[in-house]
Amino acid sequence: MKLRVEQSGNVTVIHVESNHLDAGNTTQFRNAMSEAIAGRQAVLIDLTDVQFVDSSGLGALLSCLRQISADGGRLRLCGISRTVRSLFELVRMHRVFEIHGSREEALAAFASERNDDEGAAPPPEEAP
Amino acid sequence: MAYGTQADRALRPLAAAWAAMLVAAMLAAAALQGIDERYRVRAEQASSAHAGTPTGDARDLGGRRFEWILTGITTLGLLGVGAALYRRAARRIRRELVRLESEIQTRTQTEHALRRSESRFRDIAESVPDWIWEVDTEGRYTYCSARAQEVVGYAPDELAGRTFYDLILPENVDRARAAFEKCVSERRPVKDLVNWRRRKDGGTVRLLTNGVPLLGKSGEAVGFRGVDRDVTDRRRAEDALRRSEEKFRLMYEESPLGLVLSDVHGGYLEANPAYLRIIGYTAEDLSRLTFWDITPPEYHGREYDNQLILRYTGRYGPYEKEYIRKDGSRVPVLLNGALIESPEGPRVWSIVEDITRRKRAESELARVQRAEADLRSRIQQHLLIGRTPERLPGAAAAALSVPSEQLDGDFYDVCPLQPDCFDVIVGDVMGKGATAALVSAATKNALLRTLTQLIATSTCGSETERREPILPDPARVVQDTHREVTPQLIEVERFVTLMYARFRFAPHPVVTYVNAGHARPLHLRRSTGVCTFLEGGNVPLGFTEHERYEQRHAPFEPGDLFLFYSDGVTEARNPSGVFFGEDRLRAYVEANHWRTPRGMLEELRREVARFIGGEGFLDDLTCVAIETDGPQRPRTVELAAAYPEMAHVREFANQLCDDAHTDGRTRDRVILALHECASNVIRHGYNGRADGAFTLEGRVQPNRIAVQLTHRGVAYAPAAARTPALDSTREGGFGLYIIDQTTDEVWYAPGRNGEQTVSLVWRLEPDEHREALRTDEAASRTKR
Repeated sequence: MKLRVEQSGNVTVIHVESNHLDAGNTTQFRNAMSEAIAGRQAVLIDLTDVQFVDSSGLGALLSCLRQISADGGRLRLCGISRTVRSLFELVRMHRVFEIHGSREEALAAFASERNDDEGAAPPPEEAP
Repeated sequence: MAYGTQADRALRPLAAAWAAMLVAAMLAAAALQGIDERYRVRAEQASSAHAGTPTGDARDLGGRRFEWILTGITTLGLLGVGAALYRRAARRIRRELVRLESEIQTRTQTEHALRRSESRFRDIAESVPDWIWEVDTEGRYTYCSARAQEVVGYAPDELAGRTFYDLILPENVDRARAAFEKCVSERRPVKDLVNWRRRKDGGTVRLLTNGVPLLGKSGEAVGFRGVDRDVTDRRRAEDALRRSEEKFRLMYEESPLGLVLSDVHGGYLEANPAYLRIIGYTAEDLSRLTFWDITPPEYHGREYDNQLILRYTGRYGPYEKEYIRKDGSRVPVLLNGALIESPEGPRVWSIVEDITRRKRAESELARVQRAEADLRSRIQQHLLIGRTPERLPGAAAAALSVPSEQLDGDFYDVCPLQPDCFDVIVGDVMGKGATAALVSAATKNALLRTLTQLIATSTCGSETERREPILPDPARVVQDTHREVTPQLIEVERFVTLMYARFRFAPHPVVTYVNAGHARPLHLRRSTGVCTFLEGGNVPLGFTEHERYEQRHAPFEPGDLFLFYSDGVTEARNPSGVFFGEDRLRAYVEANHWRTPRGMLEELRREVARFIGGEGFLDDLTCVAIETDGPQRPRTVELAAAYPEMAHVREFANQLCDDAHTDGRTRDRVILALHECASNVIRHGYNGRADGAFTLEGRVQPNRIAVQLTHRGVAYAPAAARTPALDSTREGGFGLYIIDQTTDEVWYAPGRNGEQTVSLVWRLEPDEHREALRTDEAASRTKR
């Protein structure tokens, strides 16, 4: 399981470089993700290369979501295939995850959210 | 006054007579005077004629006048005296008459009063239910009222002159005589003397006697007058009451049923020994308890309901509950009760039965019934129905056998005979019970024996020439079996309906069958999706020994499905009495054409159960479904039970979808379901063991994709895939749910030789179906 982690502004973009996320690689995925998302407030997981996700992969993604939410951060997904989306819809996870069609769309959502937060509240003392 | 008037009237003729006599006397005197005068005139005329001097006559005339006056005075005097005498006499007579009149009046009144009194006495004596009598001092009846007839059976006339001793029981006569004589001598009344008398009809009667002495002028007793009252009934009533009280007391004391009186709040007022035995408390304990104290908490709600029922209906029960005994143990009881009104307020009488033994018996009965059902099931499994292999040469099979509550005579078997040939036998014996089951077993045995013998005979002598024995025709098998069993069937007055079908795939796919009065099997043609019935015209076995069984042929196409069934399916009735029927069955099969044989039968069972409104089938539900293989050959792969193999699982799924020319949603579902299923086998079936393996066998039919996964790991068969929490609260538990949601049929079942199987089915959408058919046709054209 290989993850490519990039920083785009304050957003950590994690590109999953595997064509499947299933029982065979979820343990590696969890371990790698746990390290990559530690302390991150804005995480985007790009699943463009992932053609198949099973229930184990779904569980691993949920685990990430819970970890980021627990730290007060936000997780978005992008680039999910039709097959993967059908699984998300089957188990109603499309309501739990914030899913975007493309990486740009997701980053724009993060930016817009950040602008809203800055308008509404004083700027944070430290940049993330 | 009337009498005085009458006396006057009586005296009037007397006075008239008296006056008339006076007048007559006067007239007579006057007449005599006149006559005398005339004689004197005539004499004077005669003498004058002779002498002629009138001087002496004038002197005589004056004297005579004086006499006449004297006579008148005398007469008047007499008249006066007479009148005075008359008046006096009349006065005396009148006084006498008035006295007499008064006396007569008094006497008449007395007589009237007496008569009224007598009448009253008689009326009373005759109308009172008691016997009124008078006896003299000897005890001899001098008067008896008519009631004697009813009391002792004698008419008053018959008793006249008899003594009451004649009616006394012989052993009591002396005592009665002494007592009576004493009463007479002491002039003492008889009061409330209870004594037995003999009736005229020989029976006895119990009398209550009261009497008073009749006293003579000098005060001595001259007899007795009294009343006898028949108290036999009263005594009987008293005895009956006493006996009844005794009976009820015994019932209360000795009854095996608990009887308890309580107030409406459950406070105990009275309880019989049986009740105390049931609950194990003493009467003294009870005075400090209410029934709430000995009622387990789980029954409290029901008790409140009962109180309401009692208030509105005046009764409760019967209902079962438990009591907590004094020793803490529980005792099952059956209660009934009624509300009664008493001067102290409403009360509740309850009858409590200890049903411990009944409960034990029920439990024992249930155990016996379970054992019986088990035996029935084993008879059915081992004798009547065969083990249907899922795979047959060129076909898939499934059988459904839902036993009814009785032992029925349904039987079936599927016999693979050659690589391209198998027989299906389905039969039903008329009637139910052990006899039907035995006849059924015997018939099936005879059929199989006949088949074996015929095969063996055909093989003998020709073994060198042929590799495969020539199979006897179905008609021959049935005919020979008929010859063997029909005489016996006729003897036991049973008959057997039978469907014997042989499936052959070469040189052409055809079913050859004999239908001996059995329910008509259905043939579903995949090419059209339409069902037809396999017609057959023979009578059941056991009807007549002269029947000639004939076979018919029904060609079929690859993928066609045949449904054999017993009349338990078509004759299942709903609560309105409507049969499930052939038409409903055909419609069901056509609507479920895409299902696997097993899915078809399981869903049929649910359909029939829904139709009849429950699972209580009156008749066995027996079905055999045979689905011939489609034109495409199955695709098989064996994989190691390891996660890296999952890519091959997905590849296998993709290939099947390519075979079925399906894409899009169905492809996603097939891949996802198969992937989850294989994951489960690795994770749960082999629990991560690396040495495991599993096989995938996929078949594409024109209307579905079916995959059977076979493994040798631990069986896991969820009864139903529970819906997991579909939010972010859980990270697992989606696998079974996903499989359930992404397949149209899924079966978890044990396979052969300790294997476990999971069957997954996806229905192809109609457009996919048509597309697949077109491609298949094109492929077969290319092959040709």
